Amino acid sequence: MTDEHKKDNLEKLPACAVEFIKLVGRKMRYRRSVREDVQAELAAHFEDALRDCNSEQERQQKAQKLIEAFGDAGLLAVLLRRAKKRCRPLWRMVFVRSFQTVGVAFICLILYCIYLSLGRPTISVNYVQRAEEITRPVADESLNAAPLYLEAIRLYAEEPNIAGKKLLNAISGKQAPAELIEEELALLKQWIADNNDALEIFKQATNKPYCWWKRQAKNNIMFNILMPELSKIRKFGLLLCWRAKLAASENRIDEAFEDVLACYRAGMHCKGLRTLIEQLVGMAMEGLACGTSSIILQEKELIPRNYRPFRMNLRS
Amino acid sequence: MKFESQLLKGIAPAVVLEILSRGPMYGYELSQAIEQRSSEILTLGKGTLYPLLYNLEAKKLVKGKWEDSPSGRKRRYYSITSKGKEQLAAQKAQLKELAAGLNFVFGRVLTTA
Repeated sequence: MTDEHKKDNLEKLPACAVEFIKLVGRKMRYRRSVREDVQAELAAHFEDALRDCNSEQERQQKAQKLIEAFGDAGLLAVLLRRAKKRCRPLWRMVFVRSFQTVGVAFICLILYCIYLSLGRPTISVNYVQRAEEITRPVADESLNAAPLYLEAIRLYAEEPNIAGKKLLNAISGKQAPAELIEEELALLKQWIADNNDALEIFKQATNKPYCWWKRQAKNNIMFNILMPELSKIRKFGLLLCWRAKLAASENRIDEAFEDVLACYRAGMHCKGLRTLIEQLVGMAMEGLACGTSSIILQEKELIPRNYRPFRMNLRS
Repeated sequence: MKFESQLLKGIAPAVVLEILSRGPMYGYELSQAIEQRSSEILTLGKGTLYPLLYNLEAKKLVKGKWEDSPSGRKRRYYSITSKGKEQLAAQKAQLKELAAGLNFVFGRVLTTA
């Protein structure tokens, strides 16, 4: 049916009829073409009913009676909509239902994403404790090196500055004491002397068979595990290696290799069933010890007999 | 006489199909035909007529088509389908049986009175 005809039907009706028909169409809440068809049919019904009226007043009264006969516009719209929906072909129903299902699923997905993003994770398992249970050696506490390491850290004297930088940073590119300038060498020797007591305790700790720390973590979250002692242990490793190089330069080879071995054993304490960071520090310290020993061997051109104890200890 | 709505509810589709079986009609014409042919005993509410027609159309018992009426206006004419004719025949048979049964019941009551 053309739009012209639909418009034509409504224009010739009384205002109350037009309002009623439009109200039914609005309340149907369906496809526009279907609503327009229904409105056109209702308009035709009104037109036929009012055809024999002689006066405008009579038309108005008859239209009003007809509206009352039709009943509630909302209820009529609902009934018409239900009936028209039944006329839909199967493919259209399947398409609409599929679309609705996808829409509902999408909305549920959005709501679930919002719920996930607003939520806070709760940890039901204390993984820090579990990690400690797994890593703790079954051995006497007196054989644990950790208390001695802590004592050494307590006695640790901070490294001095030179030319606005920390001493170790300033000499990081240098391998041997011969490469150091006088000021650096003096500061290094002073720093080693200040840490002698700490170094001795540290060496005692490295002789222990195992090292186990009780970890602290905020809210028992693995990511929050604190390891403040690691950086100090690494510093001790560097101190030992420089002391070894200085001892080697003064031909105190045995003392030098003792310090190198202590550094290596400290590295071994850091490895094993540990976090990745601890293992990396342990590997770095072992590498440092190996590097220092190779520098000493190159500089001093030692014969194997001279460093046999070192080799035996390293092998064990 | 005003009938109980539940009584008319069951027979309204059969009445509409019977009227349409005699020829295609549009909505207003159909409602007038029902009143006239039932000697104004049966009246189909205007709010019931169009939903009923659309329901019958959805069940493929009638089909609707826009056509030019003799007056020149476009009207939607409804005509019965073959499926509708079968349905009508079945419902008429049932109503005949029902009417016979009621005649026996009320006939006996009236006779006793």
